[in-house]
Amino acid sequence: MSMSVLTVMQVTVIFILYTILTCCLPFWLLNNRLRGFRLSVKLMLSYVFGNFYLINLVLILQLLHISNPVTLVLGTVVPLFYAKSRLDHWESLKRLKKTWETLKKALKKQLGVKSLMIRIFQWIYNHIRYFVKKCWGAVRRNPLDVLLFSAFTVIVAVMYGKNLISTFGYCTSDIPVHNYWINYMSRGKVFVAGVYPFGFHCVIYYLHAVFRLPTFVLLRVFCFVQTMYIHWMLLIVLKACLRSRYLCYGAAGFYVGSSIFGGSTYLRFFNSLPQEFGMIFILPSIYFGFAFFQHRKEELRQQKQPRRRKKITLSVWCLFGFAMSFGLTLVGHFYDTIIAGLFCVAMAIAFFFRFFTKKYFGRVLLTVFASVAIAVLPMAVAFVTGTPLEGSLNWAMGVISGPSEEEAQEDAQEDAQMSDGQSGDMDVSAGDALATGTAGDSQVTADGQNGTGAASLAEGADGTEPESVRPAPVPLTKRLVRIANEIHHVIRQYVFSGDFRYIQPSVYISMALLVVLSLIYFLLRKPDYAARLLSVSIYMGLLCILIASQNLGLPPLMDSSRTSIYFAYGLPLLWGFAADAVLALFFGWFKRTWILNGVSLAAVALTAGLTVRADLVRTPRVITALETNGAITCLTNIIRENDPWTWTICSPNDELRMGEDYGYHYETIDFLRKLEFRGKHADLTIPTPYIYFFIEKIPLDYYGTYEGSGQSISKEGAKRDLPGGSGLPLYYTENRWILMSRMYYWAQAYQRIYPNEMQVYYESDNFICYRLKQNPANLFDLGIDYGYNNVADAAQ
Amino acid sequence: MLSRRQFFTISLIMLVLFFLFQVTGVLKEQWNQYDKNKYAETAHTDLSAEEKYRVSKDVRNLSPEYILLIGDEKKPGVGTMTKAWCEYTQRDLVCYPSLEEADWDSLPKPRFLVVDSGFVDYNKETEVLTDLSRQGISMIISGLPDVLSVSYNAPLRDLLGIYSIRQSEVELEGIELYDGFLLGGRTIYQAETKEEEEQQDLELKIPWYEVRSGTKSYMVGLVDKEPYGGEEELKNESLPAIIWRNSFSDFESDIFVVNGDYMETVTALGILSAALYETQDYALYPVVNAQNFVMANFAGLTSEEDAVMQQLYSRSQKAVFQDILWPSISSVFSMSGHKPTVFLSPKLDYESREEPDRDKLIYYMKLFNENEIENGLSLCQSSQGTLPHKLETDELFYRSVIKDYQFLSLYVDRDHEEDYQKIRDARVLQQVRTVFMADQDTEAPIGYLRKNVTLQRATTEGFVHNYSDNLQLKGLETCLGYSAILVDLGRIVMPEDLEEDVWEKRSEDLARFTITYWSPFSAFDMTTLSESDQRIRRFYGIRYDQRKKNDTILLNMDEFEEEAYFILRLHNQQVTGVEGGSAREIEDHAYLITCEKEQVKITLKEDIAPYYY
Repeated sequence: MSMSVLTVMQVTVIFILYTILTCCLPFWLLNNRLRGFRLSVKLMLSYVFGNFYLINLVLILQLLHISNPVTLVLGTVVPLFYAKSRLDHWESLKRLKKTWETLKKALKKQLGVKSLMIRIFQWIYNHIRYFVKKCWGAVRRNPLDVLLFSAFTVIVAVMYGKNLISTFGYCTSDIPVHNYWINYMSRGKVFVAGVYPFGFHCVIYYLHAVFRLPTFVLLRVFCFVQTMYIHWMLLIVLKACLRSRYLCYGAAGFYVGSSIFGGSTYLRFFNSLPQEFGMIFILPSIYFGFAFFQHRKEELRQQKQPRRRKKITLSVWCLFGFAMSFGLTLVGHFYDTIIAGLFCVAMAIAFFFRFFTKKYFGRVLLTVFASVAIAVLPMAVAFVTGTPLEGSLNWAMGVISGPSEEEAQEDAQEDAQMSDGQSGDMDVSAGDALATGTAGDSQVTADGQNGTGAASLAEGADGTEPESVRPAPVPLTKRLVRIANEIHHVIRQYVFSGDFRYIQPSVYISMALLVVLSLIYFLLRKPDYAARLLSVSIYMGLLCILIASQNLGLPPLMDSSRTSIYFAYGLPLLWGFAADAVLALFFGWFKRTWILNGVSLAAVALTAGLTVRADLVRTPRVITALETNGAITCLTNIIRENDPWTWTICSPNDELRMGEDYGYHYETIDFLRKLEFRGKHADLTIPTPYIYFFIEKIPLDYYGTYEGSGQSISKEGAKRDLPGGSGLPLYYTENRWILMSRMYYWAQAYQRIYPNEMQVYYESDNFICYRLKQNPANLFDLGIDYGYNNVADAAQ
Repeated sequence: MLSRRQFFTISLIMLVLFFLFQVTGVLKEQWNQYDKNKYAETAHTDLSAEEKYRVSKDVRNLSPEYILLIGDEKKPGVGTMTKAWCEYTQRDLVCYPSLEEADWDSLPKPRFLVVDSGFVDYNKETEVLTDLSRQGISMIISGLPDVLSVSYNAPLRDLLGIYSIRQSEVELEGIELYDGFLLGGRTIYQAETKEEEEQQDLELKIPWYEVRSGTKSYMVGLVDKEPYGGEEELKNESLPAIIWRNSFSDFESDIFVVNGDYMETVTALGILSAALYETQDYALYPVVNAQNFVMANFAGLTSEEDAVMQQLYSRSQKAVFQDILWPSISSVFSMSGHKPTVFLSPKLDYESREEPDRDKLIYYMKLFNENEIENGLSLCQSSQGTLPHKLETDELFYRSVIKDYQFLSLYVDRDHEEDYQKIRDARVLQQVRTVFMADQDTEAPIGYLRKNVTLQRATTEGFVHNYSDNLQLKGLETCLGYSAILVDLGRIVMPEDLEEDVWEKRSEDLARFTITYWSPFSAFDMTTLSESDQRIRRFYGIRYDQRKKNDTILLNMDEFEEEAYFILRLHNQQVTGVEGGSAREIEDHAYLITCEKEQVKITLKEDIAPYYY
């Protein structure tokens, strides 16, 4: 079976399982309670609830040290069933009892197996039929919506799926670190490297523990699932906020399908990373904020009329949704919380006329505090019980508490490198390299999580040093012009692709337009809609400041490259709202909504047509991984065909964490160093029956390029001295070429001695894997004179 | 009261039942052709010694895979074993008494240079051997010089792959043979019980050589690790090496070292075949495929030893055989799956006047026929009478009862091996096609005695199975797929030690050894001596060539007669199909190929073909 097919199957299974867990089951539970919301909002709320519950369940069980497949399943099924029974007046319990009676009959042989099977199949058939009927009904009622939604999904799948079936390895060096943290959750050690937002890790761990899916497979393919949800959330929020029916598809579709954005705005979507996971929940939190103000107003108006009050009103649900979403951004990644926080600030400003009133302020503030408290509580518990903060959090805390940047960054860098010997938590991203390469900046960006990003980018796009001496006072207009120039320059550099920078003014125009339109809508007594427009405009304005914060001399909360992701993600909102506001202004006054909807559909068609016509369609990217496809193929096969703990992989570093639950790992550098100056009796043995040696025939450019990038391993490389030092830099650039060359010639020499034991297990154009089969009762000494290890036999 | 009709019906049913019960017995009795040897027809072949491969010694006309021996091919031990192996594997053999005498310029590169260390002066000739290894000549070195010589001879240590000499002599606790070398799997020859201590007869005092990287150990000594710092300090890789290989990858030569006298016995056959396999991608060679179980001195027809039998078993000799020995033995061979060959002894003492019991002969012959057991002639006797007289007496007796029975096999015990040469042309022995002799571990186990008579030797005794026997068994199975258990009942009927030679003890040993030690070789066929004879003739007569292309091995045979057997040993492949025959797995990567046509195509698949690509 090809790895591509396997990957597609894995993605499908993981997507279905994750969707069932986080979307379908909560929807099944809450559907009746959420009457009053449209379907898309119901699904969004269910999804947020599902993730919130799942993550907190894992965290609680982990902190109690009782997390295992049984407790996880019980913790999922029992409360779910109990809650469902409570909500449907114990109907579910009765059904369960009835099922149990049937099973008892079958066990007592009062009911035949055949009859039981017929009943089971009948039940399944009825439910499928019901589901299909419902779906078909929805399709018939909203054919265009279904069509456009499907088209949008296909575009996202193509844009982010092609890489998945072409590149099997991790695309950033961060992922092995997360792999390591998740592996240790299986061993009952949450926060193994220190306290860190573990939302993403909890979800991956849950899927791994309950469904026995290998963690490395989840980390390989979960990016597709989360990217799909990121885009679906954008679509759903647009759909729920815009007045026209179809414009959301145009805005979201243009965002995902057009080539105007620079690589740095979307290349991280090719990786399963916490930040992108947390990103899913930014827009839901904003939507629930918008919806709260709207529903609360209606509820307050209704309160004046004598009517029975519901226990949990729509506005309360919205506050729940907001609290959970905001909390999830916090347990996902702090950057997401910063962005969500900025949007909340924008929302507070735009909804000032309600937010600062008695009936809103208290509730909103309480919700924010509650959401932060719930999200932070597990981390706080771990911290109080003695688990230190993870390196990147130290940096974050430093920024908040205000020590000098350089000092904090140095600390974070040191901590990050010490936190894991294998990769040091440095984010070496092939995607980023590509992206920043396009933008004409450094080809490697460092991970903001460990604080190394700020320094490399602090110099600014034009290479100017941050000013240490306070400049002479300049007039306000000049300063504003300078600020505008800085912002313009940074956006130009990071957000838009080189050929499409002419689109950049449309951002400012849209922002200005939204401000104007919001005023018009305020005047037209559409305060909710107007405030939404204003929120988006203010939010984008704040993002403009954030993205250029380093250049403006502000505290660097986030590096520009990272901010560009959120900036681009905000643009469909900006453009969508602007277009919708204009259309609604002209066509929204008609009583027949089909006119507005028809025009919006035409606008979508026009957008699509112009995108194609102007050759703005993005080509699906295939990015270079930090591991060869061959390595992943071999690892998958090795795990499949061997018993656990009967094999060892000798390779640079990634497989250490990938195969940690199944076999052993030996680092290439350790292996080669042990062979140095030894020959006839190196006493180097590895005590497993099978040893696999991963060798890149064309070594990867792990940390950017160098003069000889792309060259094959060679005798010339093998003749060079082994690189000194430790950690990940040993596998960078030329060092990797030397190590791989040495390994290759060792393997060749060893194969000549043991032709029947040492075999080529897998070979491709750029990768080769050797397998050594040995007698575990009498291990082979792997130390031989392979011609390049300066054997000092004479001395012996 | 019964009606007539009921009475008639009941009587009829009883009659039918009576008939059904009786008819099987009657038919079995009537159709039992015990007086004919069915193997005379089924195991017949016209192949004779003329079809045997002639091992050439002419250096001008050598096969490319010839063997060069530094030693004496006639000297029992390494020489005879190497010669026998060359015969079995159809290779030419060139022999020189010393390295000096070998004409290296005229000799092509041999497949192996077998060095009998007794014929080499390592102090002077190590350099020659090193030069030969650098010319790409692989060697099998039998025995090593004394430890002092090795310690002072660094080039020799380098050649042999010895990294250090830890101790000049070490007392081993046992010996471990790793799997993948000789057939039969991993075996630890370490005595832990009293019975096992009796089985331990391997050489346990050896010099402790530690081998270096680039070597592969096949057999090592086991020592008590505690005095050396326990498991942590003394790794398995440092245990005293006994059989190992040192590879010179730059010169494509391998040096196999056998530290001990294992090349002096039939174990050498297996070591040579295994060495061949280890140095190749695969090994495919013909084998006999015959596992024999022979009972000699089956003296259940007379009462000559009644006194002893009464003393030991409170029964007559005939009763002991019929009631004690036969049921016990038949349960052993039915459990192990063997097809026995029985050498009846109508009389033991040919000077006594007691006549053998004809009825008992008929009784046993019927039993034998039912159990597919073959009967043969035997030269054994307890009296000092002449062999012609014994044979004539036996013939007269047999002809009076089973006149048409063809005796195809003859048992010659150790005492009469020389006498047999004198009477081999006797009229009585004209029908004999195979001669079975007692085991002799320095002699070839099978061969031709005469143009039309094969020799089969016992490979082990039924009541004794020492560790060296087991090692030899593995060697024989690896090379030939042949074994023959000799159960000499003379020890029971004429006990030398009244305490030890009692059936209670002996039957236990027989069952234990036969069932346990042959189970790894269950893929091989169980045969009678006549069937085995037929297979030996075919084994000798066959000419074959083979070639491997990708995942297919093509085997072409000349002089093919009905069936031929080969052992196929692979390293990292498995047999997936055989056209023109069939394959049976002996153990991992070892198959018994049964060829039914002259051309056989064996298809293979890689062990490690990744599932995902």
